[in-house]
Parts: sequence; C-alpha cells; structure tokens
Amino acid sequence: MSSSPSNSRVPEHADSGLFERTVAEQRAPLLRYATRLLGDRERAEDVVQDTFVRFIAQNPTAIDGHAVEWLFTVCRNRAFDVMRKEGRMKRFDEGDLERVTDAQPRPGRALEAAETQAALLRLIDRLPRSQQEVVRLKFQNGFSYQEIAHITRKSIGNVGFLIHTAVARLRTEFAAQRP
Amino acid sequence: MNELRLSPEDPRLTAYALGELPPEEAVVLEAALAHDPAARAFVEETRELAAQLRQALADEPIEAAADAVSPLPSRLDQLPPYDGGRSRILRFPQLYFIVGGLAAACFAVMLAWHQAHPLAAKHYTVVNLADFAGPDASATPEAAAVATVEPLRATDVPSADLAAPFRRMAEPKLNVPNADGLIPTSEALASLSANAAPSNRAAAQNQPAIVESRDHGAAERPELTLAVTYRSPPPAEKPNFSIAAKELSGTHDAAEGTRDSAQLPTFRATETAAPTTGASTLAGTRLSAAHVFPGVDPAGLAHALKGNLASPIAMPPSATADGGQFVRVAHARVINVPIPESSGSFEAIVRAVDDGKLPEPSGVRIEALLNYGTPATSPGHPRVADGTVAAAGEVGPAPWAPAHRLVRLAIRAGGAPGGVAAALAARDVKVAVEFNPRRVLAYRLIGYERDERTSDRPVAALPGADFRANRSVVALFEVIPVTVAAPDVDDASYGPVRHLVTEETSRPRPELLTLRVDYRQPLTGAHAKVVDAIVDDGATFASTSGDFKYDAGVAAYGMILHHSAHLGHATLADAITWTEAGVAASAPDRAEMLDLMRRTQRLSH
Repeated sequence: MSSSPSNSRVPEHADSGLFERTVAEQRAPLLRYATRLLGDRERAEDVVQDTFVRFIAQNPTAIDGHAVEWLFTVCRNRAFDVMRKEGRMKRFDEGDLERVTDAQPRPGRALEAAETQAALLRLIDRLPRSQQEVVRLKFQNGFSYQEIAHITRKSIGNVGFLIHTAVARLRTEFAAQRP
Repeated sequence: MNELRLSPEDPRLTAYALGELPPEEAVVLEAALAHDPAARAFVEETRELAAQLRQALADEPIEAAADAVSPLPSRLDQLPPYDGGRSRILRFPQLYFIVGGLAAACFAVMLAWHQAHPLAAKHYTVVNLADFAGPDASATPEAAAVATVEPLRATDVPSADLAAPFRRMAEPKLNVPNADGLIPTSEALASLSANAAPSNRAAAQNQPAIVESRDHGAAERPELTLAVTYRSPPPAEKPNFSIAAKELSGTHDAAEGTRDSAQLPTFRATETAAPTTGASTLAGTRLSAAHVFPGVDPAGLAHALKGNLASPIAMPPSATADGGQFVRVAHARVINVPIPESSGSFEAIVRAVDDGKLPEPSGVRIEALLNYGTPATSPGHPRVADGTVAAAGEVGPAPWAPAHRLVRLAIRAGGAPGGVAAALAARDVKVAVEFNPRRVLAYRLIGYERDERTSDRPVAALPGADFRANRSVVALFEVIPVTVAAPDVDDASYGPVRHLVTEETSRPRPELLTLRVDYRQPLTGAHAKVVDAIVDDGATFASTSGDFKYDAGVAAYGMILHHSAHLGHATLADAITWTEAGVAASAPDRAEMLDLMRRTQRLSH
C-alpha cells in the first residue's frame, strides 16, 4: 500500500482552495498531536509543515474522503521518523510516565469548568501512552475507531479495547476526585 | 434466542455508547439494554464522560502537550516498522518470541526482587525531619511572615543502601483529630525518637515532637497529613524550626544492580511566630530523623504541610482559606494575564455615586478601573514603534501591605502599520508571567480575586486580544517575597523547558519575574514576542513613578469598594493620597478617576 507522493504535477487541490482550507482547519489539531508525540513544539511545527508539503504533493483523488485521516497518519509517521533519527527511542514504562506528569503543578484556583478540564487532562496524562493517543484521536480529533486503527496501525478491536480501558479508568478516577 | 449478558467490562458497551458498534450488533445490544438498567446507566455515564472529554480536550493548549509528557514512546514495539518506505519480510519472527520471553523473565526477576524488598514501591517521598533548632537570632519580625513550601517531585525506588538510614513509617493510622485537628501518634513519635541522632536523642525524648501522619483513604495517591506540635512550655524567645523533605531520585535497575541518585528540591517551612495556644516549642531541640512514605504524592505532602502545621505558616488568611487568593509560586509558577476588554466598572461606580450610594462590591472590577481611560496619553511613556508591542515592569512596595511588593506591568502597542488611525497595531496579544521561586513565595493578580480567570497553564490557554494603535494595558501583582531563606529550587525546572516563558537559564536568577508578551503583526501575521526580566531593586514607594503611585491608589480604591480582605488598614483617604501623587495635569482620565474617589469619600462620610 504505497502512497508515495508524485511531484511530477501540481495537484488539483493546490489551486482549488482545498489546501488552504485544510491547512486552516487541521493545522492546530495536527500541531497538538505532533507536539504530544514529540514533546517539542518546534519539532512538531517542522513535522506538521512537512506533512502539509506532502499533502500538497499528494494526488487528491487518492485521499478523497479521508484527507484528515491521511494527514494524521503521515504526521504520525513523520514524528516517529524524527524520533528515530534523533535516537530518542528508549523504553519508557508507565511508572516513569507518572513520575513526569506528577511534577506538574496543580492549578491553584479555577472556575469549576476549568477545574473539570484540568482534572480530566491530568487524568488523561496519566494514562499509558497508547491509551492517551487513541483517546485524543477519538475525543479531540473526532476520528472513528476505524480511522484510528488506520492512523495507528492497530486493529479496530485493539483500538476499541484501548478506548474502553481508558474510559473505564478515567471514569473511576474522575469520580474519585469529585466531592 | 440467547439473552445477551452485559458487563461493564465489555468493550462493546463503550463502543455502543460512543456510536462505534456496527448496526447489527447495536440492535442486539439495545435489546439487551432494555432489560438491564445498570448497563443503561453505564452507557449514559460513558456518554456523559465522553462529552466532558471532548470539551476538555477541545481547549487543550498545544504548549501543554510539550509540557506534560515525555517525548519518548512508551514501547519500542509500538512504533511502526521503519523500512525506508520499502516492505520488509520478517524471516525470523520467532526472534520476537525469544526476546519477549527473555523480557518476561527479567520482569519476573525484578518483580520478585521488589516484593522481597521492604521499600519496594513505585513512589516514595523521603521526608527528613531534621534541624529542629533553637531560636534563630537572625529571624526578624518580617521574616516571620513568610515561609516556603516547595513542591516535591515523585521519586524512584530507593535502593537498600540508601534506604538503610531511614526507618519506614508505620502504616498511617486513622485517628480522631483533637481540637487542633492534629492526631498524636505515639508510634510516629517513637519513630522520630528512635531515629534521632544519638547526640540529640535525649533532647528529642525530653522535648518530643509529635509527628503525625494520616492516610486519607485508600486512593492510589493517599493524601498525607504531617503535623508538628510541641509539648514543653514556650520559651521566652520565639521558636524557629524547619522541616526539610528530601527526595531521592534516579533510576533503579534491579537486573543490573545499578542506581544513581540525586537530591532534588527540598522544602523548608520556617516559622518564628508564637506557638498556638496549648502548644509549645522545640527550642533547643535538634532532631534528626527520616521517614519514607510510599505512594505519597509529594505535592500533596507539601500541601498538607502548608495547611496542617500546628502553628500555621504565616500567610494572609486567604492564602489558606476560601480557595486561596494568593497563589503559591510552588503551585503555579506561570500565570496568564487576562487582558480586560471593558472599563464598564468605572461607569457603574459613577452611576452609583451619582445616586448617592456605594456600588455593589461584586460589580467592582479593579482591573477595569486600572485600565480606565487612555493611559497612553499620560506623560512619561516612550514612543513604541508602529506595529510592535512594548512591555515594562516596575516594582515597589504595596502601600497597603508594606512587607509585600507591588509589581506594575504595562503593555503598550505602538501605532498601526502604515499610520492608519484606529487600525490594529497587534493581533492575538497574550501576556504571561513566570515568577522566580527564589524571589517570590506567593502572588495575586489584583482584580481577579473573586472569579478566577487565570490559570497556571501556558500562555496559549487564554485567548489573545487585539490591540488598536497606542492601546495600553496595566496589570498589578501583589507578591509576597521570599525574605527568610531562599528555597532550594531546582533551577533546571525553572525555565523554558517546562514553561516556555523564559529564554534560558541554568543559574540562579535575580529577577522577580519574567514577563512575556506574544503577539502577531496585523498585516503579515508574523509572530513576535517581548520578554523582559523584572528585577526588584528595593524601591521605596516615594521613589516609584507617578504611574505606579496612581495605579496603586486606584487599586486600593477598587479593593475598598470590593471589600477586599487584602487591604489591611488602608483607608480611602490613603488611596486618594496615593492616587493624587500620580495624577498628572495632562491626564484628564486620571483627574476624572480622582474626582470619583473624592466623591466616594464624601459619600462615605
């Protein structure tokens, strides 16, 4: 399943406004996603820009109907490429993840809504990385199980299980925090 | 037809709740749901949580993504295979099973070792109760007003040799608190005495400290309450004690038998105030002990210490009550500064005073009063280049609380590019402040005392504001400086890596705070920023600028109308005096404000 971009012609969406519209709509979600993967805003900017470069070179008919899914897939692959090149891959277990997230200062005061948001985001940050990713793709980016499966190269069943497990844990921990 | 049994453990229920179940399966599941109220409730709860998750994640700032997690992938095998774009045949998939088997064996060995080790747990906070010293001659009354509690970071498992000096705290027990909210725990006391250094043990036993611990439930992160009180009669001199909590950090690998360790930030609570009634002092006593608390969230421990010391750390009452109007830098080092969009509060006060009454306190917006009028016309403002934004800060005493410092931040836009009157000079202006924990213990953003509109999230968390040409915005922070002992701050965590505000640091920094303004140029959309380190040079109120005095007076006026608890003994006459000192003849808006204050004063008489 190769979808290597062709640079031999100018794609239709380069002139049709689709590109500008897609960039405007998807830049922030992609940047957030890439930043989450890379932990670095600047590298994430590069990855997202590279993703859009590939997007404009892509044959629009090949991604018709699932352009956003395609963008996230390419963005994810590019992010992992960057990590590989920088030799930043190593084992990272859940305990370490919790140690990192525990260091975050707690908000001092906030409105109830902001507190709820902050509490949920903290709980999400404590999930295993694989669950964090699918939860964000589902609830932040609105992808279906099937689309998430394509993006992450997991089976639909695996995606469903990860989301179910994450939601169950979030429900329990969120309820425990509420008075 | 067999009846489908539903369980909350079934991923299909979650998939159904999220609309992900294929239609044919959804029909079957709906039929089962009709006879299962518990499952229906589960579905509803899941949908409710999903809505909350969507809402929470919709506003998640991008910077938080960089700030919150390590960039490292959780599992190497979660990465897609990298083949340079070419497919690759895995000829020996058995190798993965072999590697997996070896990994499982290693994990089993580590697990067995951890279970055998008395201190094996995921997180530990090692608390040294040390250096209980006699009165500190250097302590001044002013010094008594502050204390520091730095947040701790979670720790790794201490190795056997490092844990040896420590005695594991007995399992925290739930007891009934006494009238002071404290729980004497003889076991903890014995532990403390037993761990006192030999030279100090006698003193410890003669004048024992009661060290108490509570485990509030069996949650994953139990909140720990640690309290210290005294038994012996109070001495003539005021006591001074400190509690140092040290972390052990590093990595521990049982398989390789290696670990490295490092001491990370400590927190220190220093108190020189008189002991509370019924309590006493540790004067002359020096104890040395350490306890290891498994599974304790260090931030929770610091919080518990703050609120449960027998003689509370001397802070303004609001700092430990009603949600805390002063925010400890240890809890939120970075704050976004909202940009007020309306000055309607001024008109509302004018209407009320015209009607011969005082305005409703809840309707008084101090930040709106501070930004009433056109400060840009006041003298002393240097010209700001077109299409840019300038920022500056000034520090002086808070006239209503002389031990506190007042920080005046001014952000001003230049003219619009091309000189177009009333056009935008800057778009998407966002202001953030990062406090230096070595200099500032706590702060409050004046005007945001009742409805919290700020947070410790990075700068992107608040929407940006558009600045028309020559617009100015003023923000005032009242800060409680660190004047006793500088907290042991992890400088590596105070800087751009975590908060994206400052440019660089690997050394202790003198500034009180760092001000950062981000904005976009209106025509090109290009991002620009202003970063300024604000240093406190110890200016007296008399030596501050007219702008500073004026804003201090207006803030005090607003606090009076707002019934602020932070006003101290300041009066409206004081506020008028301060304001008068900053009113310039060429600033009609300021004269208008001063007139309103005087009319309010006559009304109150």
